[in-house]
Amino acid sequence: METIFWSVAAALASVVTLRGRAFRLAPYLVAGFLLWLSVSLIVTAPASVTHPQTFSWAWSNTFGAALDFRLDGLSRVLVILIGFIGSGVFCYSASYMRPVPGLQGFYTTLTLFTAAMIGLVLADNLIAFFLFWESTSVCSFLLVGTNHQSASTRESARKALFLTVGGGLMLLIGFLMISAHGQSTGLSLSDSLRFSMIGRSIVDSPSFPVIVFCMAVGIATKSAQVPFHIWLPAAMAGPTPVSSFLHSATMVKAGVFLLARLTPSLGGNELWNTSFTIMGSITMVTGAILASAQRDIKKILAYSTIAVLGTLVMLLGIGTDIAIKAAIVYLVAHALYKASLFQIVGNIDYATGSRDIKTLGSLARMLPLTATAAVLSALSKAGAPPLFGFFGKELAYLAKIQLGTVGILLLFMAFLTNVLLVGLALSICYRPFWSKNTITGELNAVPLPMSLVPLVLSVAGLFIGLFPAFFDQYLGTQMASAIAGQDLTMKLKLWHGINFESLVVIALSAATLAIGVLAAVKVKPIISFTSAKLSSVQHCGPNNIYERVISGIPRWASSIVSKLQNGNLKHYITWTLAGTLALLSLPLFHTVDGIRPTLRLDWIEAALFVAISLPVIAALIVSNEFSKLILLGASGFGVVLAFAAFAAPDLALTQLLVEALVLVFVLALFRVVPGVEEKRPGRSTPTAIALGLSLAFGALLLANVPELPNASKIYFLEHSYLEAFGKNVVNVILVDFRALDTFGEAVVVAIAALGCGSLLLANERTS
Amino acid sequence: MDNVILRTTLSLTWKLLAAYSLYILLRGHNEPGGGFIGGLLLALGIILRGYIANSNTTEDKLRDGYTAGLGLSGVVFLCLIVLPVVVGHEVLKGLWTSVWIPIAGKFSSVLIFDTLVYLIVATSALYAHSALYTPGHRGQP
Repeated sequence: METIFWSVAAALASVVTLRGRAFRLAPYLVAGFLLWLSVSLIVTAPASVTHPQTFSWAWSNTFGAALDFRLDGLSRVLVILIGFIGSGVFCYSASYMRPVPGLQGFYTTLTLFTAAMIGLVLADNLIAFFLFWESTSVCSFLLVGTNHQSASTRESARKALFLTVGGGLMLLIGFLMISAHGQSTGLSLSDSLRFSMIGRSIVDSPSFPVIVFCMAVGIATKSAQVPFHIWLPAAMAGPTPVSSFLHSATMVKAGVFLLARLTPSLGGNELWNTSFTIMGSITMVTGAILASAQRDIKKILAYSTIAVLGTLVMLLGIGTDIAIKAAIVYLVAHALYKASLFQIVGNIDYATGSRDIKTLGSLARMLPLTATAAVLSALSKAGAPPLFGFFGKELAYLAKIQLGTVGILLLFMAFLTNVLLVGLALSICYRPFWSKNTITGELNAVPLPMSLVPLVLSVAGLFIGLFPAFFDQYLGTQMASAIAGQDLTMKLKLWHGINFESLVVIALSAATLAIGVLAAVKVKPIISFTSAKLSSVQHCGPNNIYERVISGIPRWASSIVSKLQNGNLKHYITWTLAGTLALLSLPLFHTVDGIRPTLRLDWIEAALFVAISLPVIAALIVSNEFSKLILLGASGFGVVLAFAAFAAPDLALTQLLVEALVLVFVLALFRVVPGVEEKRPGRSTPTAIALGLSLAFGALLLANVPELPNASKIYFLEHSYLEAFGKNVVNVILVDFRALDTFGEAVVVAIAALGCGSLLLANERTS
Repeated sequence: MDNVILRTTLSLTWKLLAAYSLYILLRGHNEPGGGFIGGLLLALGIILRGYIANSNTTEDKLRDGYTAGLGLSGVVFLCLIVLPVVVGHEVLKGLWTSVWIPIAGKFSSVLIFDTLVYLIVATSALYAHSALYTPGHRGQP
């Protein structure tokens, strides 16, 4: 665990502190630290993983927001993956990114993202997880917008931010509900916020469907599931390292990771399994069909990433042992080959300035290393033996066969998806490099590191495919056990022996590859056909809805604002009062039953009643503005007396001073406002009556409350001197027990003053 | 302001108010008072001083430095929030020393917190008031 902290800290430090010429070393340093991190995690004995390492820093027990980390089989594999691919991406960007002024910001954000992503997979505390989750979204926004001079890039970055952060907020709601349930079963606040403490009993709680819904929205937005998938293709506006790191290998997997993380506690029931199976399978097919309508290779990769993410969600939704194993293999294999494929496209783009699959060709001679990497990655993507992707597809087919009747439908969908993906994968690795098309114009030479990195990544896929036992022993078994919540041994085999199931699987694999090759040969007509079909239904797609909502917001807002804020003060007051009344009426209707008004005033209360209400009534009668003001002040002093009489000297003092200051302020207003009209036409009688009624009801409600809850009062009285060394309990609460609230109030006061200044001093500044 | 009696009284009163606000702030932890009340009192004193001096130089100076002051107090607030964590306590936990301060008792981070509230409340009220009182530029309804 310490290794992870130190290497991430060292990476951040090197990217922030190096300046000038030395900064050119920074990406290599970061890459080195990340590689060291992942290698040191691989070589630590897997035995240590059966007993997860934990780290806890309870920096704020009061809010339950502890920084808990937990390194188990699942997070270990993901940290290794992030470190390995991250180091490749940093090496790649060192050559790919041109030395522009904002480069340090780019690398800093990329390193911050890496740190946040590692934090996300390690976090055991829900709040910490949420913060890391949203940090990755914000980093993704900044990184997609690297080339922010272009309007369409800004648009894409904004789309990614809106959707992922919005989904994150839904996640927060779900987390809070999980925590509330945990507390209701007797967990402490900080324990109820731990992934590892979520109890199975939550499945039977009435709020479970809502929790599942919140989780599903969070997962769907982050992992680009239909209909929230639209941000991922748009995010391709970012530079190649970003697409290859965030939008294929790591960040988009965060949703899948969360799904896997929650499977032991929330999974294994019908609602959970059905919803994620349906969501995943629809996404899988949609992604594949959309991918086959693109000409831009980067877009093809983006949509096929969506298809794979759908497959992953579907497999975890199915949730059987085989399905979990398939998901693990898919996740790791996809991270390796997709990161590499994005870099390959980056190289093609770098060399030719084009990414069009229909016109590119005969690049193999010029980019031999890239072409080799492309073949290896694409074959892994196509699921050809003996590459790593092969195992994933085999297991996925097997998982569906074992499902029975539902499995047949899923099998059909998966078959269609795989055929399309195989066809596209093969044409990506064949057409740009070997087809007869010739590129006109000058070609840029691609630096060696840019060709080596994708090659290393794809060779890693080949290596695992050739020696699956390595993966089983060091990574797969622990990860499978962590997801399943029980011991699960991973054993990948190229050949399963002869029995019915394995024969069907092999037949399916072979058929997929064969038809996929056909599709690759006919790829041009397929692309033309699907894109033509899709353009006719595009207007009702989610992207269109999103655009319409986003462009509608300003119009909607301005129509509301012109209704609410029309410049007429009386209008404002009416709306404010109506809002107050609406807020008050609901609880009133709920409690109005039990009210037994008791009117027992002793003489002090009666005197106070008179002292407060008489000036108000008088203020209604007199017509002079100054007299009204003085009378209202007098009523305020009545309130001061009331506070004093009920032993609240602090409140009385504050009220007194506020009354005095209000008087000073209003007098100052009178000085500058040019003449107040003596007669104002038309009073809003209904509003006045409504307000009066609601206040009367409110008073009745309060009159029935026997006493404020005693427990908190006694707590503060007992603890204020012992723990906070203060005899004035009110002040102790303000500055010690509830210091955060007081801090917030100080901020409110300052913002109010700033608002006042910006309204009143605006003229002065412009003149 | 042409009332001699008022002018003479206020010239003494505002100083008393300012001094008393400090006293209220310091004693706040054990007796009625504290940063919020003290800050209001200080603002009231300085506003009254502006009336008798017929000039708002104090407030004008304050207005120019207001945002900078806010930023500075933000930094101090941040220190108060983070410092206990660095020392090994929870966030925002009060840290106490044995240094004795008259009226307030032992010096602590809680006192700094209260003083910040005092300053923010006082300066914000004065800022708003001075914005209201800036001559010229207004009057067009």
